[in-house]
Amino acid sequence: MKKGYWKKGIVLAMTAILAFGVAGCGKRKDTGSSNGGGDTVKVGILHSLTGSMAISEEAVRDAEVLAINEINKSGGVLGKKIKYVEEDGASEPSTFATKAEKLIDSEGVATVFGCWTSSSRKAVKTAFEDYNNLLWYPVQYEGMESSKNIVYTGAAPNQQIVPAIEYLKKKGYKKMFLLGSDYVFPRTANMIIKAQAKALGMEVVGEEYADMDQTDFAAVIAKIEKAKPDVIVNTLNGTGNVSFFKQMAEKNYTSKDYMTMSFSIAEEEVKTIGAKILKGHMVSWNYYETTNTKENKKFVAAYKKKYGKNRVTSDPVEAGYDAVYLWKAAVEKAGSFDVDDVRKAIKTGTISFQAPEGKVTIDGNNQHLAKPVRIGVIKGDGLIYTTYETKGTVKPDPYLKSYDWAVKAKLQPLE
Amino acid sequence: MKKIKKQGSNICFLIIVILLALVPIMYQYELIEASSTVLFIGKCMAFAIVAIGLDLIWGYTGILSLGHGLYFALGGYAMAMYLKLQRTGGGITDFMHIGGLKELPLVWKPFLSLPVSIFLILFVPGILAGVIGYFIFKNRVKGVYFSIISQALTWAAYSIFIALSPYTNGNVGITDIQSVFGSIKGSMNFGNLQILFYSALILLILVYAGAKFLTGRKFGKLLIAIRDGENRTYFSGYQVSRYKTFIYVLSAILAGIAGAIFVNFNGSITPNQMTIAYSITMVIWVAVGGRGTIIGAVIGAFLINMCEYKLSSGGLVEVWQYLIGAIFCITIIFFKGGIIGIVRDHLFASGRRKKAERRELRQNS
Amino acid sequence: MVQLINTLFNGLSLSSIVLLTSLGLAITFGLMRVINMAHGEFVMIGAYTTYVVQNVFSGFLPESIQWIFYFAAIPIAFGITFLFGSILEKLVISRLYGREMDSLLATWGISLILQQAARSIFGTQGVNVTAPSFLQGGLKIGGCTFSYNRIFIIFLVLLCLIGMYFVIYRSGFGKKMRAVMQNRPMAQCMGIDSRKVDNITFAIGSGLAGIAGCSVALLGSIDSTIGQSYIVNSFMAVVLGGVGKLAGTVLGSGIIGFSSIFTENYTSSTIAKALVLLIVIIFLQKRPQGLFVIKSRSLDE
Repeated sequence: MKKGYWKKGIVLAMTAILAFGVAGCGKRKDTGSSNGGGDTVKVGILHSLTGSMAISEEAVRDAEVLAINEINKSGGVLGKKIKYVEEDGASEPSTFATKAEKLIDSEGVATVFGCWTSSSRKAVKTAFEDYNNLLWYPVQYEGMESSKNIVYTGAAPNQQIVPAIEYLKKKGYKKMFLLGSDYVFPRTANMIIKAQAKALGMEVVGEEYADMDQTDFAAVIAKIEKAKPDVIVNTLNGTGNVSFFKQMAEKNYTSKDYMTMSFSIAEEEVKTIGAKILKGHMVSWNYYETTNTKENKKFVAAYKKKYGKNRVTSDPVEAGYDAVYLWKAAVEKAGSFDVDDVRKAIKTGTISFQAPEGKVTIDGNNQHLAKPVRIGVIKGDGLIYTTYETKGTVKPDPYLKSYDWAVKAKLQPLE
Repeated sequence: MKKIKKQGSNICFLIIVILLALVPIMYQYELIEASSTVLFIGKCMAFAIVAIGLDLIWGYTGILSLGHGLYFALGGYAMAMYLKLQRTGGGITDFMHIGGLKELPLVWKPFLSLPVSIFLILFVPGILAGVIGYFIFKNRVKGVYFSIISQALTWAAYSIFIALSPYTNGNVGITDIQSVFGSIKGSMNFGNLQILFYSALILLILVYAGAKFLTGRKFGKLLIAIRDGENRTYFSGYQVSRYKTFIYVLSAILAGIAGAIFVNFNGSITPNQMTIAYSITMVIWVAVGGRGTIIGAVIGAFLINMCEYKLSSGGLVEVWQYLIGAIFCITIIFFKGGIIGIVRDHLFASGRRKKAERRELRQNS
Repeated sequence: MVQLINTLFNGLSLSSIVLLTSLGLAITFGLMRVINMAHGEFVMIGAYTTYVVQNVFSGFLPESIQWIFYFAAIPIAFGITFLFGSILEKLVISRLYGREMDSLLATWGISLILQQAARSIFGTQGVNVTAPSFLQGGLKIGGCTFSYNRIFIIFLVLLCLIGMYFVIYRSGFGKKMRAVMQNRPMAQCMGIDSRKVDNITFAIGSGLAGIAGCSVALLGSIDSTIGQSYIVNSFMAVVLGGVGKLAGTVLGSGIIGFSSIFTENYTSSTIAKALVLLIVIIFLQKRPQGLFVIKSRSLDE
C-alpha cells in the first residue's frame, strides 16, 4: 500500500508541473513595457544554454548580463532600468526561431541580444524582420548578409579573414591548406580566401571539411602531410579544434612544422586545448584579453570579478558587451525605445562606443561595426598577444564590394 | 459512464479540437495577447501529427523508430524548397550561388509547382520508408536492432544533408521563407495565420480520424497482435513483414505531412530536425502521453511542447533539463501507459479495481 | 609505403578507440540485451573524472612526477563509472528487464539528466586534460610518426580485452554471468543470485566506458556532449559484430574503424561517415544477426 501512495505522489507532482507549464502558456506577464510605461525596459537575451553550442554561447551571455548590470548601476537607459528576459535556444535553429518569436511578440522586448551560429541567426532573421524588432548579433561571421533588423557587432569577413590572409602573404607564406568544419562559415570563408589567394598569387594546396562533431582527425592530418602546406588556414569550430590540435601535437607537430591561422580560436578555446600545444600559432580577431586599452582593463577586471578568476574574455564576449552599450547609445540618441527610432539613430552613422577593443562605430548603411583588426600570437601563458594591428578602424564591408578581386570573382550574393 | 469510458478518447479529442479552434478567436478577443503563441500552438499541431504516426508504429505495432526525424525533415524540406522557390521567383538561391551552382539543380525543379511539391511531400518519405521497411522487415530485423539501425540511418542522412550544402544549404537549412498563405508573423498578417492554423487543424482532425479508423478495425487488432507476439501472428498465416512495412510507410508519410506543416509555421527547416536527439524527443511525446492510444500521442505532443515553451527560459533552463529527463524516466519505468494510462487506472477503473482487490483478499483469506 | 603504414596505423588506432567505447556496450547490450543510451555519458563521466584527478594531483605533486595522475585516473574512472552503473542498474534497469525498448528510452532520460548535471557542475565550457608527459609526442620510425598516446590506447584495449576474457570465460563470476545471461530461470534454480550478477555485469560494462573516457579525454575536448559523438559508432560496432560475442565486437570495431579511415582518404569526412554507416546497414540486411551468431534454437532471439 505504501508503494501506491508514493506512486500517486509522483503522479500528482508531475501533473502539477505539466499543468503549470500549460496554464502559463497563453498568458503574457507584463511587468515592464518596451515603450513608455513603467520604470523598466525589457530586453531579450537569446543564447544556447544547453546543447552543443552552450560551450561557446554562455560566456557571451554572461558579458551581456554584465553590461546590463553596469548600465543599471549607473542609472539605466533614458532613466529606465533594463530588465532582461532570457530564453534558451538549445543549440537548435528552430528553437531559436520559436524563442525569438516568443521574446518579441509575447514578452514584448525592446530589442534582443543573441545567437552565435550562422544557422541560428538565419533562422531568426525572418522573425526579426516580420515583427520589426532589432537583433544584436555578437559573433564574427561569413558576411554576405545585411538585414536592416540585425546589428552585427562581430567582424565582417573584411575585418578578420581578408586582413589575415594579407598578413600571411606579407610574412611570406605561399601554400595554404584550408581546413574547416562542415558548415556555412568555413565554406563561405574559404570561398573568399580562394578568390583572395588567386589575386595575391598564393596557392591553395588543399581544402578539407571535417564533420561537426568529428573526434578523429588522423585522416585529415594525413591529407595535410601529403599536401605539404606552409600554413593551415583553420576555420574549425569548438570541439573540432580541440581534437585537431591535440592530435597534431600527438604527431610532434608544433607551429614550427605547420603554422596555423585560426578564425575561431579565442582565449576560451586556448584554455580547453592547452596553451602548450597552441604556443606560436596565429589567430585573427578584433580584440584579445591582452588588448592594451584603459577600457579593457576595466572590462576584464569586472568580468573576472563577477564570474570568477579563471574565466577569460574573448572577442565574441567583448562584442556581446559592446552590443548592449551600443544599443544604449542608439536609444539615447533616438530618445526612444521604438525600433524604428533606434534604427533611424543608427542610420546617422554616429553611434559609437569607446569599447575595450577601441572606439567602435556602427556603420549607418550596413549596420556592422567599424573596428580595428588585430593579428595575434598565442603565447605559453594561454593568452593571445597582438603582433600586428591596423591603424585605426577598418570599415565593414560584408559583401566585399570594395575589393576588386572579390567583385571579379563574383562573390556577391544575388540580388 | 460506460459510454464515457468507451468514447472517452474521442470526447477528449473533441475537447482538444474545440479548444484549438478557439485559439485564434481568443486572440481576437485578446484573451491570448500574442500572435506568436497562436503560431506556436500551430507548430504543436504538426508535432501531434508526427506523434500519431509514431504511435501507430510504436504504440500499436511495437516498432520503435529512433529516426522519424528523417521523414519529418524530408517532408519539411520538400515544403521548404517549394516555399523558397516562391521567394526567389524560381531563380537559384543564395546558397546555391555560394556553392558554385549556376542554375537551378534538377532536384529542385519539381518544386516549382505546388501540386507536385505536395505530392512529393507524401511521396519522398513514403518511398524511402517503403524501401527501408521492405528490406529491414523482410530480413526480420526487429526490436532494438531496428531502433539502432533507424538511428544510424538518420545519422547518415544528416551527414549527407550537411555534406551536400550547395543543394541543401548544409546545417543552416532552408531559411527565409513564408508560409503557403504568405507571411504569418505579426498582427497585420493574422488573417494568413488564421487560414494556416485552421488548415492545419483540419489536417490534424483528418489524421486523427484516419488513425482511429485504422486501429479500430481488424487491422488495428493485427498490429497489436504483431506487437505482442510477432511469431504467433506469423504462424497464423499473416505476412507480418507486409503489415509492418505498410504501417511504417504510413507513419513516415504522416511524419512528412507534419514536417510540411511545421515548416509553414516555423519559416525554416534545418538538418537539426533529423538528428537522433530530435527523433527521440518525438518518442518522448508519445511515451508521456500514452502509447497505444491515438489520443495519448496528441496529448503528449501538446503537453511536452507547451511545457518546454514555458519552462525552458531564463533560470528554469537547468531545472527543465532535469525535469524532462526525470519525467521521461519515471513514465517509462512506472507508468507504461503514460498520462492516458494514469487517467484510465486512477479515475475510471478505480471502482472496478477496488472490487477486484477485495475479491482477491477474500480468496486469500 | 609510408603513407600506407600511416593509414594502417590510423585505422588501427581508430578501431581501437571505437572498440574501447563499445567494449562496455558489448557487455551491457551484447550479454544483457540492455540498450544503455547513457553509455556515452558514462564515457563523459570517465573523461571528467580524469580531469578532476589531474587537478587534484597537480595540487600536491611536483611537476616532474605529475604523469602519475593518469595511472591513478584509469582505476578511479573505472571505479566511479562502475558505481554509477551499479546505481543505475538498481534504480532503472532492474525494473525494465524484458522490456528492451523501454530500457533504451529510460536510459535516454538518464543521459539527459547526466548531461545537464555535467553542465551544472563543470560549466558549459570544455575542460582540458593535458596528456601526461610519457604520452606526449610520438615515436618516429622512418617517415612515420606513431603517437605514444595512440599506441597506449591500443595496449589499453588489449589489456581490457584480456581482462574481460578472463572475467567472462575464466572466472567463477564469469561462469555465473554467462549462466544467467543464457538461461536465467535455470541459473536461478542452481542458486545463483541473478540480481546480483545482473548488477555487477552492468556495472562492469559501465566501468569499461569510464576507462574509454580516460583515453578519449586525451584526444579531444571534454564537455557535456562528448558522449554523443561516440555512441552511434559504438552501437553499430556491436550490432555489426553480432551480440554476445567479444570477437564479434572486435571485428565490428575493426571494420568500422578501418573503413572510416580508408573512405576518408578519398572523400570528405562527412560523406565518409555517412557511407560507412550505410554500408554497415546494407550489410546487416544480409546478416541481420551480425557477423558472429550464437546458435540458438529458441524462436525469439
